[in-house]
Amino acid sequence: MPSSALIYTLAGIWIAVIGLRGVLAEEHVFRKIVASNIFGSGVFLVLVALARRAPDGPPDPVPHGMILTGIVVAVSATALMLALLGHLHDTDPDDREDSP
Amino acid sequence: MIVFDLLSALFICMGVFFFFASAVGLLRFPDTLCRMHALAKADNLALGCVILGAVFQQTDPLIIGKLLLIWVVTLLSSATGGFLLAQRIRRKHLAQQEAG
Amino acid sequence: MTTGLIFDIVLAFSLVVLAIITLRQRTPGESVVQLMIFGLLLALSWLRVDAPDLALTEAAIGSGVTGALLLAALHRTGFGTPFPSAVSPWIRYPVTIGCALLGAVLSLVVMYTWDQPAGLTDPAYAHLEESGTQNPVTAVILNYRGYDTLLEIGVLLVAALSVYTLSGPASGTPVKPPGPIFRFYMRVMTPVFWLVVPYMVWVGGRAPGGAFQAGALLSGLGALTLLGPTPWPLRLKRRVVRWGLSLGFSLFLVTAAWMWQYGNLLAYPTEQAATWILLIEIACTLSIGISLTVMFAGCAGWLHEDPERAV
Repeated sequence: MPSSALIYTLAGIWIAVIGLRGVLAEEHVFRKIVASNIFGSGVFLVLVALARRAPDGPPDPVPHGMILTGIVVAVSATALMLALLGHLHDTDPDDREDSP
Repeated sequence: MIVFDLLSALFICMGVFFFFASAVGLLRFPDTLCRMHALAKADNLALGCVILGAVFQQTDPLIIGKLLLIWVVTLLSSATGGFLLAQRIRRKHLAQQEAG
Repeated sequence: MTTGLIFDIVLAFSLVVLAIITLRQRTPGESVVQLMIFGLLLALSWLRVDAPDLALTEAAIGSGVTGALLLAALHRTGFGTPFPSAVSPWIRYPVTIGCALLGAVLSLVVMYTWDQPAGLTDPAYAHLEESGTQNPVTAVILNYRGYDTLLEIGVLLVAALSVYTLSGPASGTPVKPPGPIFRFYMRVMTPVFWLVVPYMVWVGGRAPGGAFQAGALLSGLGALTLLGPTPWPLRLKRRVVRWGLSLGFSLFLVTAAWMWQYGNLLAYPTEQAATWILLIEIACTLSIGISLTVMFAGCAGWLHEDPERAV
């Protein structure tokens, strides 16, 4: 009988893989940014589910701390990507194939 | 007490039903304004029922106060957000009517 | 097969499906909304694996702030045009197959190595009394792994500064001035925000909460404030913004250097640990709130638009 942590770990792996595929195979920049967020979220899910491997007792707080850091870094990266996108749009707004 | 448990179960079931109805409405209604009408049921009625069900499980008045605060803040936020969205839709309709 | 397990299976499956759906939406606005929904369901799943701090942070930052940033960027660069057609099949199919293989390999690895001994739970809880706080996650991020948090605040500062650099002249359509309903909402909610933010910082010492969640709430208040004209005391002056951005990182650095006299960098002496942690949390909350607000303004194109509204 698989534990819920195992189910979430597997789900996290597949979510990360879906995000990775989106980053690599999508042409539109905005979709790449959304896919990179999904990639990050999948990795976080894997980490937090692995922290819950022992079925009883408290969860492992060290991966929790790493994910807390990771969420903030991920949002910083997203903000930077979006600022770059906006800057690209300002300097060359028309006829770009990947302007949203 | 068993009465409180039964009341909690009753209210949470009602809340789940209203959430489900609201989700069905969100998917099936033809127009954004109609969908917001369905969303209002989720934010006001369904959340209120679920929180009421949770309140019946608590004895600490501070926790009950915090739960009710969640509901009040969600009511305010969803009302304001719904109004802003509807205002934008109406302005867009008016602009479309003026244009064509 | 307990009900909890059934719920987990359904939720995990929904998350995977939702991830696929998010990447198949046709317009940018739709994909942002799907991403926010995905983030919220992800927070629910983290609650199921006993990570309430993370669920709070993901709901606030991962779903809320990220969604706000994406929508702000769409406001700056134009909404709603559908995505162009996909990339050529020569790239699409091999990448998809490669990623699927990677997923399968990783899944097998996880399933075969599942019964390895546990991680660092015991040492983390063993030293909890001397760490200066009762919340184990706070102890991890601000005491055991303080360097990580120090550098993370540094990354946040660098990103906020870069967003400042990248926001050019006024772009995007200006937002219509808000009406009485939004003003009423702000009048009611601003004090509520200012009450909940310190409460979150304070309660993070013994319950789920802490600097990051409070900082995310503060940035929510900042983003809401930027959406409408606010009276003068609430409008941030540039000096306040600059000090706020650098406060978290500088205080952390100063603390690390101050601790040199006790031996290692960033090693608090046991009796002062709680005080230092609280100070750093307060500074980081302000920093995170202002940084995320600056990023929101930058993504929306509002950073240098109008001296009256400029942040």
